[in-house]
Amino acid sequence: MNRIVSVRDLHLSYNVHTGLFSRQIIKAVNGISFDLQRNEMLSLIGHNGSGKTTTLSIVAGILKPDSGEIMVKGTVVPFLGLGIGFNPELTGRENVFLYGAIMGFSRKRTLKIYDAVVEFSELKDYMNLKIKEFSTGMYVRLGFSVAIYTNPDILIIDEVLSVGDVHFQRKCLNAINNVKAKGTAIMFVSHDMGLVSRFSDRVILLSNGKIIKEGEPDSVIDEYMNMKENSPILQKSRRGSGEVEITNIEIDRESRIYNFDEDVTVTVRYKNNSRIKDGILGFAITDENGCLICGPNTKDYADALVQFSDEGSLSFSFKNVALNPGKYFLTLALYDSTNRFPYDHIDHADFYVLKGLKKKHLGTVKIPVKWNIK
Amino acid sequence: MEFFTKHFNLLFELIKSDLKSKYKNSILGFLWIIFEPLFLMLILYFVFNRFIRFQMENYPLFILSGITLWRFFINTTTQSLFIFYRNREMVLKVRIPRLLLPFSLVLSNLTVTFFEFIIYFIIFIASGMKLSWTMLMFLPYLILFAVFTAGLSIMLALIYPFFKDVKPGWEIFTQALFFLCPIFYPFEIVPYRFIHLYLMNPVAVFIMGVRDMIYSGSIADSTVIVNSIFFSAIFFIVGIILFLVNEERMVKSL
Repeated sequence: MNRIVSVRDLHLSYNVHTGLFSRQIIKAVNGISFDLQRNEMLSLIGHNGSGKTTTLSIVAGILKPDSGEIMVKGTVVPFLGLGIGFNPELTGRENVFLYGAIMGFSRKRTLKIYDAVVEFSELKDYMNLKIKEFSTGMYVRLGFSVAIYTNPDILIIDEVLSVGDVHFQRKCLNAINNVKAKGTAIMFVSHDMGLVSRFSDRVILLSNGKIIKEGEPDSVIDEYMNMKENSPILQKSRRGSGEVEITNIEIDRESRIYNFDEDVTVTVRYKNNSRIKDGILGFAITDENGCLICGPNTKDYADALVQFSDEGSLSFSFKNVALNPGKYFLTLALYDSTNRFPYDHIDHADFYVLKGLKKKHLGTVKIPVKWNIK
Repeated sequence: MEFFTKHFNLLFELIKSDLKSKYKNSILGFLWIIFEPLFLMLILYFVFNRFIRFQMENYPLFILSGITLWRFFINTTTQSLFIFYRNREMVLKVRIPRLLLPFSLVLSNLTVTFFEFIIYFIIFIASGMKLSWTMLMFLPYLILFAVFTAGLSIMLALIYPFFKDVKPGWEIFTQALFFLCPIFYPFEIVPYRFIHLYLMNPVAVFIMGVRDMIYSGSIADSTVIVNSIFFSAIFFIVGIILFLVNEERMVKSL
C-alpha cells in the first residue's frame, strides 16, 4: 500500500460569538474519512462553507480536529492562501527565505533552490521589490514556485491557481503533474470543474462537513451540479411596487433536471392588488456564476402586453438549444407597460439543471461549429 | 531548548524580518534607536529638572537607564497584542510552532534594547562616570526581564483574538504603570507605608534592579533579585501553560 494520508471520522466545530454571551456552534467538518495514496491527486469540491478548506487545514496540521484519527506520512506543504507575502514590507527575495524557514528549510537549503524558484516564477526582475508592490498574480506565482520546489510528499492547494493568468496556470498544472509522477500526493480544492475533471484521479463531494459522494471525477461532478442548494452568490432578492404580486412559480418537472433540447415550462401565478390593466412578463437565465445569459420579455420578444385579471396564471416555455450542462437560475418579473417600473421582480427565484450531453464542453454555451480540418 | 535549536532558522528569519520591516523603511532607519530614547530623556529632563526643579546627580543618565528598560517593556507588550492577529496568514495557512511569533518579537526588541544600552554606556563614559565589573551583571538580569516580558506578551497575544477590548485597557493600564515605576524619580521617595505595594509591581522591581547595576554600579538588593526571579518564572510558566491549553481555541477565533 502506498497510503500516505489516512483520516478517520474527523470532527471539528467552530464557536462563533454572535453576542457577548450568545454563541453558535458551526460544525465545519462532521465525520469525514478518506485515504490518499502516493502519485494521486484528490480533489475536494462543494459549495462555500462545505468544509473543504477546514479539511485541508486539518491534513496540513494547521488545525487540530476535535475528534478523529489522522495519519500523515511525510512532509506536507500547504498552499492555502495567496502563498508567500508573509511580510509585505520585505522584498521578494527576503520573503522566499522566510517562506523557506517556515517550511523548515535551513538557509543553505533555500539558497540551493532559490534560482530555480525565481526562474519558475518568471519574476527575476522583481525580486528586490517589496512584496507589497506585487500584484495578486505575482504573489501566487512566487508562492507556488517555492511550494513546488520544496519537493513535499503531500502538496495541498486551495483555490489559488485561478488567480494567475492562463499561461502560468498551465505551467503550474504541468508542474503538479510532474511532482505527482515523482510520487507526491496532491490534495486540490477548486470551483473550476474543468480543472477538477481533467486533473483529478478521484473527487470527494462535501456538503455541510460531510462526504456526499466519492469516486470518479465526472460522476461526482455531476452529482455536485445536481445539488439543490443555492449558490451563496446568487441570493434570492425581490423588489417592486407589489401592485401585481407573484404568488407562485412552478417548473413543470419536480426534479428540475432536463436533458439537452427539451422544453422547460414555467408557470407564474399572480394576484392583482391594484386593478392594474396590463403589463409585461419577463424572465432571465443566469449561470452559476451570476452571469446573465438571456432576458426575454413579452414586449421585446413578442411586442405584446399581458392583460391582468384579479388573479391568474401565466406560463411560458423555452428550449435549451445552446446551453452546456450545468445549473441555471431563473429570474422572474412583472413590469408596467413602459417596462420601467417593476410590479414584482424576483432575482434567482428558481433554478433548473441541464444534463444530457455525454461529453464535457468548456464554457457556458454550445454553438454550432463547422470544422474544416481535412 | 530543543524547541529553539530545531526552529532556530525560522526564529532567526522572523527576528530579522521584524527588525527589517521596523527600520528599513524610514529614512533615518536604525538611527531611530538612538533618537527615540534620547528625545524622551530630554523631555523628562526638562520637565522635572528645569520646570519642577527635581535635583539629582546625573539626572539625564538616571532617566535614560529607566526609560530604555521601560521602552523595551511597553513596545514588546503593545506589539504582542496583535502578534497572532497580524500574522493570521502565518498562523492559519502554514504549520509553524506559533510560540515562535511572540518569542521572535521579544528577541527583536531585545536586540534594539541592547543597542540602546550601548548608547547609554557611551553617554555614561562621556559624562565621566566610572565603569565597573558589576555592571556586566546587568546582562543576565536583562534576559530575566525579557523572560518576564515574554510570559506577559504570550498572555496578551492570547487574549486579544477573544477580547479586542484588551487593547485600550492595556494602554490605559500601562499609562498608570509608567508613573508607578521609578523612571523619573528614585525609589527612595516612595513613602514607607506604600513600599510593599510598590514592590508588587514587577516592572518597578526590574527597573530598580537594572538601575542598581548600571547606574549606581552596585549589585541589586537581594529582595529585588529574588522578586525578579519569582516574577519571571511565574509569568513565563503561566503564559506558556495558558497558551498550550488555549492555542486551538485562539486559532479558531482569528
